[in-house]
Amino acid sequence: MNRGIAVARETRLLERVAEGDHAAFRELYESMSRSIYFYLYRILRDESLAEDVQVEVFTQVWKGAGQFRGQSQVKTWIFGIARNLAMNALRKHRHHANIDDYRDIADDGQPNPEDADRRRFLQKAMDMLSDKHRDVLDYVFYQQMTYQEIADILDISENTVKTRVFYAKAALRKAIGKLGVKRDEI
Amino acid sequence: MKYDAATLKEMIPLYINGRLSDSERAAFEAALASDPALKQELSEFEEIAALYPDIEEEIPFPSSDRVFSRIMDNIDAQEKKAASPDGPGVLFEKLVDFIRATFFSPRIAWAVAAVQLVLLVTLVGTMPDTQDFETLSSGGATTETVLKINIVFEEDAMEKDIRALLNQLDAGIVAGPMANGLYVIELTQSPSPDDVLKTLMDSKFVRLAEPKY
Repeated sequence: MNRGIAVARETRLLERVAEGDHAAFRELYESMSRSIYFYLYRILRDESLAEDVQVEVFTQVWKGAGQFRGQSQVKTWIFGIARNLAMNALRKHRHHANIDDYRDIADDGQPNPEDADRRRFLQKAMDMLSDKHRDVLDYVFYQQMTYQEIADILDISENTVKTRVFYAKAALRKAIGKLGVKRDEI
Repeated sequence: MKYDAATLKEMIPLYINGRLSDSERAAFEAALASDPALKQELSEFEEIAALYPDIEEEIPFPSSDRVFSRIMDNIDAQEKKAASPDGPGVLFEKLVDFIRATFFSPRIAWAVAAVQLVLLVTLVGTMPDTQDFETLSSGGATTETVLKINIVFEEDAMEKDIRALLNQLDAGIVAGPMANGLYVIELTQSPSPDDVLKTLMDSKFVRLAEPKY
């Protein structure tokens, strides 16, 4: 869906949510729950904690819909709520990310072993990134956000986001080097 | 329109996501045809983007229906609590909502300010000359205590953020930073330690806060 159309649709849905429309709330939830859960899980690395925070995020969306002033997009507003609640949960649970929490991608069933190896190396390298760097790559390549949208959520400048994306990529290259693999070998 | 090399490089992630405008995309593709470095950079970013379907596959997404039902239960529970007549938190929230709604209009806000000013002048003018009350600081027992807290701020917390947080609590830094980034802050306004610690830990600018004994 064209992003402009999606933005208008999300705004309309949130307006209906503010009027207490349960069907609109469900629709908004269905359109965003997967990306919000992905986001929370990548920060918290804990299934049940991510789910608990997701429940809280959408509860806040329901309660706060009437206060939304349209100064940002609905999507970035909800991600802002998710980020704040995730950071609070992180502090409370002192749940530190651990590289071992990630499972390797199994080679079984992959159609092409060379592709599987390449992805496995790259993913291992990505797991070695700092939360900040992994986070910004997630925003760009999973959430498909623009620099400005990311800047709105993180409350930093657009230029800082741009710089961070390229630092993240450089860090990924470095991590690949640490794994003892040259780029052209993967 | 032609873009410089740095701008073209910045466009790569947006190009991959399809977030460039038609004219930007056309300019980017034209540059791509004649710039091997840009092409190489694009292919490296594409490789990162290609990881995401696999990453997504590994995320244990919960049942959408179950989570939605939990959300609705949570909302119901909070609304029931809010409807309870004797909930002090509810009264406070209603008061905040009322103030927000009232003061949202600048005209009303000015009118209220004018009334307050008149009241203030009237009250000061009619106050008795003799002082028949005693302040806490004028002698006798005081309930003021000093609360000291060890605190570590987030690396990206700006000075203005820290200052605003401390002002909110009427707190000041009395020691630090130490080699490990630790500060000691002090509050003197008869604080409730639990509330203060909760405020600090809820702040996105604080990594750690605990009472200093």
